Amino acid sequence: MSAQDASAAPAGASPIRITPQSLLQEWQRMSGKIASGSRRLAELSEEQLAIATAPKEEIWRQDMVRLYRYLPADGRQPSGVPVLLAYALVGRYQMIDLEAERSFVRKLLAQGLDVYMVDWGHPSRAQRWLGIDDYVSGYLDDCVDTIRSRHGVPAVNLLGICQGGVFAACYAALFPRKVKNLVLAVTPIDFHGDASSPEAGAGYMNLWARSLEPEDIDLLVDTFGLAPGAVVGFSFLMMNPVANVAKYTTELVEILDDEAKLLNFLRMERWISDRPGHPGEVMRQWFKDLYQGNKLVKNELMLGGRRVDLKQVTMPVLNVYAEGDVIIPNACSRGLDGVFGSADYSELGVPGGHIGTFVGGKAQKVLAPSVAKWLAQRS
Amino acid sequence: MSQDDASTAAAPQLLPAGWLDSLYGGYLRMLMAGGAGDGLGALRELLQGHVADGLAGFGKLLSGHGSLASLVQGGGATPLAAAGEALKPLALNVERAYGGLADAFGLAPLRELEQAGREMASAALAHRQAQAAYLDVVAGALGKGAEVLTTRLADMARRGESVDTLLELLRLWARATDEAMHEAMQAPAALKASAELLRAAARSRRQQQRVVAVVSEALNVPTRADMDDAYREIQELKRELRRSRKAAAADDPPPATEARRAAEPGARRTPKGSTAA
Repeated sequence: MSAQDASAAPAGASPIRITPQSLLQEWQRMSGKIASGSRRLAELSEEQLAIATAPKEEIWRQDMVRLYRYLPADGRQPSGVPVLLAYALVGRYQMIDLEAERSFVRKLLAQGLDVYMVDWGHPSRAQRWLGIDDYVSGYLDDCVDTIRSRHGVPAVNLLGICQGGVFAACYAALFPRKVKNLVLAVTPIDFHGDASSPEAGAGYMNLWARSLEPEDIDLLVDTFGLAPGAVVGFSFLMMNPVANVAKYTTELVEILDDEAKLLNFLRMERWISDRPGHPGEVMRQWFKDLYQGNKLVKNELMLGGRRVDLKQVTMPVLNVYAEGDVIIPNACSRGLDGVFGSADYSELGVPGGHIGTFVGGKAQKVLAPSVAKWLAQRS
Repeated sequence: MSQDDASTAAAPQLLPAGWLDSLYGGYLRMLMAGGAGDGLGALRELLQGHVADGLAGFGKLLSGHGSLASLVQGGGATPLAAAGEALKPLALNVERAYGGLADAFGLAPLRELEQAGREMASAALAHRQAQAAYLDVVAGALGKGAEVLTTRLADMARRGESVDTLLELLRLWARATDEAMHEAMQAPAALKASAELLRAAARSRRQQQRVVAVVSEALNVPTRADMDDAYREIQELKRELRRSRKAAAADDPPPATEARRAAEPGARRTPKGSTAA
């Protein structure tokens, strides 16, 4: 787009300066890009497109859940209390280790941390009855106990991301003696935080969930049992429908002849296409008790017959939020100083969106070093 | 007149011009028309077993049509509704008298399937209506996006800026439409349409599942409900086992030497394999 002299542009004239000649030139340029891009796509190998390549070993498994320990970077001996990362159920953990240059995991390892990851796997219809308590008091507790046993420590550092952060917060409230430090990243705690101060273009899931009746959630869960990964993916696509369609057309064409950008795009698509199903009972409680009832921040959430009281979260808490997050509005994830019982509560704003916090260029320089430093100060 | 003109003039026009648009437009209008008395509403009433109401609806429809009006003159849909009312006790009493006999001959699944099929068709119709209403909202948002784009282009013209490539224009359109979509889809009307679509889709799916369940039971094939019940019991057992295991482990802390060995980086001594739930 070019700015011309105001005197050269007659008032009321259309700004569209597309001529048949410019259209032809643009077509030739695009054709060249598409041709070279097609050749490049055909030449790319499976190894180049691999994601989550940070070396790790499987430590424990149960049902479809796996616990991995990442191997130290460059042979360095990790120090300090191990940190367990817990991602959400709605996407695979590979996003935080997307590629070598944009890997939150590798950056934590480079800081000398001993990093573990829980992989929730791919639930099938057989897991439709899994509830949030099964994940928190079951799988997550087993992972924590395994790490505690291996290292002979009474407590571990816990880092939860988005829905994984909600699980981590619940765990820290129910098992405070097993958590040394708690880090929450892009985690909704006050699900109605945006109700009084809605942000344009953000928090669509909050609005949509609150527009449903509780009976609608029951109907949905009782009918479908398990939300298929494709449906979950579609709901995220619909948050920015036109932009997401433009991504595969106008934006993709521009990067076809840039191998680095093309690989970034393809690796992200690999992660996006690997959406796990979502167990129905988790979904029922997530929507009814959290999105609609907002029970977590009110300390009314019940898991396995026990009340989740965030005041029992007495260990240090670092709350990381994405400054441009449209999926979890900032009003839902920050300003939680009085919510926890901790006397050591900090917040960290990171540039980028919900996903960009972990893969964005600017965020890469901020997030891992800040988290590592915060944990080191409290080891 | 040339030979071509003559042949063109002589070619019979089998269908009116724009017939496909009229047909599709009529279909959409029919889907979105609500309330009793319209054709779709009458059909739904019949599918749901409300014979009198369904026939009354058709009666009202027919009252607007020429020669058939004589059937319903002087009372609109009354004769048809009356016929429907008369049919109701007849259908009920046939069921009472012959239902048991039909079941004895193994026809129970068929009767159940007939009922389930009618309800499935009714739910599918409701689903289509909800989809049409939702698409109406989306179409409105797209239209609004075009308005936003026009405004943006006018602002650019005033600032002396220009759009020199088709790609730039497409990007401008995408941004403008995305903004309009966000605003529209977060509005109460769109949220309501979305919620209704979800309900209609779930109900339609439930009816489909019911039809499959009727056939499965008739063929002695486990149904989805049977499997879900089994999975629920398994999950309950796993929870009990987990509670027992954790209660036992609470009294039995891990040996310190094993913990030290396992903590060494690169140590691969921890056996892989499933653990008990």
